Amino acid sequence: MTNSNIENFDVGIVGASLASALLAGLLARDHKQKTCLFLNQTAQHQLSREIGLSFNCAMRPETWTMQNLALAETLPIITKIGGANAVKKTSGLLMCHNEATADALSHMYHYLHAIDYEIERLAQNEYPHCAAAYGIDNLRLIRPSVFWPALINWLNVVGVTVFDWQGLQIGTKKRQSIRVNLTQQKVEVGQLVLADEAAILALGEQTETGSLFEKKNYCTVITQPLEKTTETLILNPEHAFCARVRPDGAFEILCEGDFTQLERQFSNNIMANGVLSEKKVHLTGRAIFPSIRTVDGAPFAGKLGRSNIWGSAGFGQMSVFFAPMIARLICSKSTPDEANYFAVRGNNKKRNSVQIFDGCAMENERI
Amino acid sequence: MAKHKRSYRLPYDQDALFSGSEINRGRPIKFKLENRIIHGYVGDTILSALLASGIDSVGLHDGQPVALSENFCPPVLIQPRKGQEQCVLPMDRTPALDGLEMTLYGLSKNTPKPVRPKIYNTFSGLWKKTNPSLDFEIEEQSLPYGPWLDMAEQESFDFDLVVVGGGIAGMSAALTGAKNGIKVALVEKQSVLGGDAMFFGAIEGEKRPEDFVRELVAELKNSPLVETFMLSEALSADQDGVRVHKISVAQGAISSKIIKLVAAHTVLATGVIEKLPLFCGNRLPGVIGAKSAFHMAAKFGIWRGETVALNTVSSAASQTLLLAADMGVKVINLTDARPNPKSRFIEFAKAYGISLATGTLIMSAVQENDQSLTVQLGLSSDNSKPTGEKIILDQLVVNGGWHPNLQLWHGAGGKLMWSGNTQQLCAEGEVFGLILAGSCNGERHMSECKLSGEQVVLSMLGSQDNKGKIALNIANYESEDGTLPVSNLNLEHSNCYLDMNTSLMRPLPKLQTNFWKQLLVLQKKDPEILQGGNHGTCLGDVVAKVILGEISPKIAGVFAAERCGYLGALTLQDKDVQPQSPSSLTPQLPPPFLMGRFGSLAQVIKISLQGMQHVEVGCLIYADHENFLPDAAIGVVVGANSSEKQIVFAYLDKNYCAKNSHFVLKNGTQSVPATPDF
Repeated sequence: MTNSNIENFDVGIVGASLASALLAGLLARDHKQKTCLFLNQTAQHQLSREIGLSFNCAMRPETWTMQNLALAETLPIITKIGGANAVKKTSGLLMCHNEATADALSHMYHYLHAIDYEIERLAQNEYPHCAAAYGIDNLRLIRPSVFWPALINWLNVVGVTVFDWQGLQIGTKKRQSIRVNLTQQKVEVGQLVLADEAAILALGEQTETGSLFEKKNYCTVITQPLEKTTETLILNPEHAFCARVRPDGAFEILCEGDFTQLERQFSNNIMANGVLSEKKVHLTGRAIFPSIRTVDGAPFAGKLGRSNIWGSAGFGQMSVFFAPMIARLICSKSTPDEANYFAVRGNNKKRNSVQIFDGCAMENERI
Repeated sequence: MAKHKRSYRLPYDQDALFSGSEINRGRPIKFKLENRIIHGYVGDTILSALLASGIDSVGLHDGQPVALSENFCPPVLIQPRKGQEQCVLPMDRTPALDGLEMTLYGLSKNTPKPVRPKIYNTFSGLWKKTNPSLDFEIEEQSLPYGPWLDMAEQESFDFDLVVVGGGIAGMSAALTGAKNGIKVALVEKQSVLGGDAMFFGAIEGEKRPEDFVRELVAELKNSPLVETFMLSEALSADQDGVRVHKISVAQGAISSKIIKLVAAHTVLATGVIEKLPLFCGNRLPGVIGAKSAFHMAAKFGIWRGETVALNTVSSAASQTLLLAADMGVKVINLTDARPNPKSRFIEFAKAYGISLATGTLIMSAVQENDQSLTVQLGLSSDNSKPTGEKIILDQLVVNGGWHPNLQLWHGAGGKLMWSGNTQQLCAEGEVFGLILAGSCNGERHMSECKLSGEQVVLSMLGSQDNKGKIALNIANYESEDGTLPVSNLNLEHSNCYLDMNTSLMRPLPKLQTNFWKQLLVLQKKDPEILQGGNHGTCLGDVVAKVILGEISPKIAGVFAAERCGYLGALTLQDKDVQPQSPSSLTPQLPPPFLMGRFGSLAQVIKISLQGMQHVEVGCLIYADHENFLPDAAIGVVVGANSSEKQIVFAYLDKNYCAKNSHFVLKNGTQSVPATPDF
């Protein structure tokens, strides 16, 4: 193959998530970058590996400031691309079982209360099996069944070239460009962005991620529909448990660990708290998948090493809302506040010298 | 025009294939289901007795009735009586016994009965019309899973080889094993062996299927090394053997148990599944797959009404229509979605004087008040326009082609690959201990299936005796099966289903990008909910999704891996539910997420509250009453000593840790003055 057959792009985004696809589109539309997206196209049809939600358990005020800014900026973009039905308003139940997490959530609650966030502490006697429980209103939930197809159409409109990431290998890294080898094609990009956990997991070994990330297994299931109900979310930061109750009464659950772990968390968080009266719920889908998380629990956005390979991970349920900020970061157009925020959340010494722990899943998890 | 009153049992003719070979018409029985008396014959299953009694609808789904069939029927709860223990069993496999009393399993006592006009109740006794529905509220609770799926194994038996499927390939495999001196278990779901051989028939040069089956069955009877498990459904297979749900009848009582057939090798000869053509109304009562219609007529003499039409893409299906015509059923027409199909059955149909149309598909079917169906036909070449021709009939037999029954293979972790030529999900790679044989492995005719059954076992035993593939010259006459007929679906009528199974999955509506259309369309039909009912997706759903373009062929296998088959259940685990005490509020080192938040030199100190106050961990501390924005906070409560409630521990900016400092603690809406406590 000659060099003339190699297609060139300013930026190449690798990902499997809504966040990665939105990031590619924003780079093309708002920053006029010639962008290609190496998309894991099976992602749209797999069971959810992510729940796009306008809420993350974050312990640092600066992360909450960023989350609120990200939400305000991205929500109109999502509805413009996917229409009003791409995002749904819903409420959530946040709970935990161990004392350390309860303390962490209490810190978060008082901070959120002070900024008039719609969160309320729920009576202990209503949730006797929990160490703490909170109700959150006015959450925004992204509906992938509506947003994914609309996003793919939009990428076409804004001129993003989409490749299937199957067989993708990072080739020669030069100062100005990176060669990306696909099964039947070669592409050269100025900057390559591993835009989500799946991309870093798949290609991280070919970059310089160091000890930033650790590999974890996650489990996702869908249950049979039960009684029709109001859509709601049940979150427990311990084991990254997140359950979405759909209007038809089916549960979509994501949890760290294997199926046994998920079943135990389902018992503790859903059944024991009377959210569900049934003693047994059949599954209509299940999968275990590997992923990565940052070792310190904080988001990561920045260059992975000396080459022009970027990474973005650890934004949890809000990852899609951070896409405009990540796009500005890559194009060196961050606002001063964003620049300060990301300065200590990259792969650098500042990250190690400043404790920026954002996660509230405690080391001494007991359940 | 269909008659208002229809019969459901064909007349008896001992020479006819549709005579009802399993039932004894001289021995009538009756049993009770939900206090309704159901009549049948010895040899009927509960399902066949219900269908013969004119009960052919499970209930309403989105306001439309869904047909009761062998693929979609609720389990029954058999009530205890003398010698009979209470048990839950599948309707389609359970023999109907005289005097049994049963209810529908999972049917809520509170389920409201359908509202009928008063006049119906007043006069219904006069005309003695049978309620054609089980009145199962599918919409609210869907069909329940059979509890046997999760039951523990009660017995285990050791074999050298387990063969699942008692068709030609399965019987051949079992016999080959026995002839080579190994102990074989043969598992068959139905009450008779033979599989679908009679339905597909013989090709030129082959023995008649009944002779083929009779010889193999006779050989099996004389083979002491083969143990046959009838009325037994294989639930799962793996390298250790096969998990089976077996139904038994002994001394007038029915029972069932879960058994494990342990063997190092398992042959899966599970046959093929019929594809459902996609049109609105494709699961209305009266719409039936050609293979189901054939078996119901052949085994139990059941046929719905007196008028029938067939729409097919597979030549074998046409035989069902000709056999029905032999029994006096009036054939309205035979339509084939293929443009110019060649088949000996089509020639026979011409000889019968049956009206024939090729390149024709079903656009829609609608149920009329008298339970008959009005069927709109269209052209395969332009599936958006009806031809204008409508037919009214009692039963519409359909066939959309075939796909291999690989549910057990898939459940064991076997990979699937989309074959575009045949529009099928086919097996790919290997699963340790499992071997595919017969039509589920792509074989098409009896001779091929027989040879396939023999060869896989010989190969497993390491024999060099490979006879090679039989060369069958049939392509010149019989046309290949056609592609799945898909009418231009009007999704406003949501009663188009992807397959005949329990998932009740329907096509996804097309995405509306227009805001107002979104409000109108998507609010009404949430695409997530349209994706399915309470059962896991079946392979047939995946096949239809690929054909409709909802998922890419490349990822059909991935999609199936996560969603198809019986996937288990989440159960309440009481032992894990541990009530947790709330935070002990004892002082700890500040948690890592507070590090640096109140300056690099912040400290944990005791502070004293003015007045007895209960404060929580996380309460923010401010320098004064002026500014309660969190950015202005100088510290936070990190713990309290329970014995001295006016004392709490705070993580505080170093500048405020001096002895004479004063600050304000914000506890909800209350502001509490506080000072360091030394």
